[in-house]
Amino acid sequence: MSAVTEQSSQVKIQVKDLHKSFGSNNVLKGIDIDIREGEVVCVIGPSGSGKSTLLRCLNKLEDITSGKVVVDGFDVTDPKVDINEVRRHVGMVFQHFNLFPHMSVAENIMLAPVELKKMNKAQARERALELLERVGLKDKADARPASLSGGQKQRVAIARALAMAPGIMLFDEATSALDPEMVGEVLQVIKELAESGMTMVLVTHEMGFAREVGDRVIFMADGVVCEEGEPEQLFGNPQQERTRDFLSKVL
Amino acid sequence: MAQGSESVEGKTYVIGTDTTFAPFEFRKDGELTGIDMDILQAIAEDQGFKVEVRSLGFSAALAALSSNQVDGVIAGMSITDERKDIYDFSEPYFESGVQMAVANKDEDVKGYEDLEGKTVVAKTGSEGESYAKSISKKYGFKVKSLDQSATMYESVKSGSAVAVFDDYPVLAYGIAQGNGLKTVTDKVPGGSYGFAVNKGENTALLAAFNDGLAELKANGEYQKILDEYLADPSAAVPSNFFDLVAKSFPALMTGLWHTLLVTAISFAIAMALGLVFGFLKISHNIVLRGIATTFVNIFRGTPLLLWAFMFYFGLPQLTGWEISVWTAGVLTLSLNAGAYVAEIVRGGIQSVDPGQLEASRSLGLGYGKSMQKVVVPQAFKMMTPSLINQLIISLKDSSLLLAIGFGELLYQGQQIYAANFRVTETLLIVGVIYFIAIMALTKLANYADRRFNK
Repeated sequence: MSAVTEQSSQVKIQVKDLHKSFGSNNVLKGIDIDIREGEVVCVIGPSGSGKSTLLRCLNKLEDITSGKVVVDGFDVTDPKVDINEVRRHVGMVFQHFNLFPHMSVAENIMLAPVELKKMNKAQARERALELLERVGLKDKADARPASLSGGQKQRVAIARALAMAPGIMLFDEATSALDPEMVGEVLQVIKELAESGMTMVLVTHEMGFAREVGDRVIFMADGVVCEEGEPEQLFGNPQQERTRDFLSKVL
Repeated sequence: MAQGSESVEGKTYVIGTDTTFAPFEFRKDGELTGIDMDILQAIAEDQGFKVEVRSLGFSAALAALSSNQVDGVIAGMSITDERKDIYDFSEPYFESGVQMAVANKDEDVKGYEDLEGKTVVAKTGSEGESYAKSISKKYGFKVKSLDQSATMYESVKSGSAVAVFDDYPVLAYGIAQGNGLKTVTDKVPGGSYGFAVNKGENTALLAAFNDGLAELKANGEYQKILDEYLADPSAAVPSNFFDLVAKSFPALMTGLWHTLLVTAISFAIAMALGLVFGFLKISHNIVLRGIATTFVNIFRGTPLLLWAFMFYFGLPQLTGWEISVWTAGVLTLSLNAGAYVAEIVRGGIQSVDPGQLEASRSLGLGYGKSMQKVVVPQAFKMMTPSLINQLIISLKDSSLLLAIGFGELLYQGQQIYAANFRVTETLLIVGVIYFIAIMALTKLANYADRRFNK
């Protein structure tokens, strides 16, 4: 609440001159992005270009070296802002799912609502079952994560990220660790989420999916935004040599 | 005739003694008895004071006296010039002398001249040791020093030494108990035994001891005590193995109980210490991490026994606090195990995939909550086998506390074989009890592990 900043309510995420270095290694070298409410932004680019680091700076899983990141009205670079509060507004899905193996599927989803005292256990379970139904896994509520397939695990992870009803969802290569035959079921869930009007940022290697679902595609290389635009334009008529070079290799 | 203004009447003095120096002090049916004990009790009764006897072992009793953990020591101790520099002695209460003994079946060693190139044993710091050393050059033998009569006799019987030099009454008593030795030389008249207090301290106690001793000698009580132990030493010695088991069982069970109790208390404290220092070790704060690393390195990098001596003998001298053998024992075991548990905790937490913490933090849970709900439960599951292992190590390590006279299982075993000289059989019984206790503990811990860490 404390750090509501100036810009219009349209903009959900604002990144200004973001720099991030690990020691002497400069991974992000000045990123500027605005993402509007309901927009689906896909970030593509070669390995090591800084895509994942950018995403992780948005909910401060990485400390920000310099620059400004405003998410849902909170300036996350302001030390006075309670980052835990911000994170409740931002769901995140990881490449390796990171489900909690010592809890059942439902307990994974119930953890945040119950521990953050948003709901009692019964309400949280009801909410978990709703979310599981949405990702098509209601019958797995009491299973252990270890008994699920990769695709099922990632769908549970999405349901878990939705448990606090976030306004923004971040996907960090959500399908990269999946067997090819399971990619479809996860992309389907993400697509439905996009169609529901959720603001989303996806770091992805699925070019076809980025083209189909994205409102905007950002191509990153060497720690900077090299080119951005609507999918048709970026994939169909890339302006930069780097972009053309990258696309020729992956398409 | 008492010197000093203080009176000893009604006071209780703590007296240190050897664990096992039959017939001067030894355990019979669990009770400490012997010439020293009877003389001390008779004098205390005569002079109207009370004594609380601590059976520590000879060297430990002297260390306890120096650190004022005890008021006096009576332990069949010869009065020597070196000792007179540090302690004040009573009038001699027993005229001793050194004798040499060899194994019963040994027909080769009949005198000192047969010892050429051989090894003999003697008790550390005893008259026997200094006598053996004084003639060792002349006859060309080596002297090995051991701490207890029973172990000295065992090494002669087993052949690792050919002869033992010991005080004649002790040898005589042991031989009468069937320790398998025989004496081959005449008694060398020598040292007399005295009761000792710290130099310049407890003068009233010392004076009372002298008065009481004179009284006992005058009324014949003194001779009665000596006769009881020296004239007919073939007291009730268990005749067979099962008799030995039955006789020693109550004392060994007390020992087992102390072993389990000191291990349980120490391990509970070690868990708390280990959790705190384990978390500090993974802290981002360099000072906290330094504190934890220092703690772990100190207690992992030094022997357990050193800390037992340090806490029991050193700390009282440094601080002036009186430290009970339980406190010293628990401190020693818990700090040692705590250092290992800290490493187990650190390793357990670091073995949890960092993605788990990130996932929890990304949901908006704080660091503490994330640790509590997500990381620690998984870490604990991985730590359990190592923790069970450490618990068993601590239980076995508790036997080292016998060095400060803590009455645990192995100590009780020592007390028993020191009186009856059946070392092997007694150690066998003690070993079986340890084995059964540890097997039971392992089964229990594994059951709990399966039950709670599914």
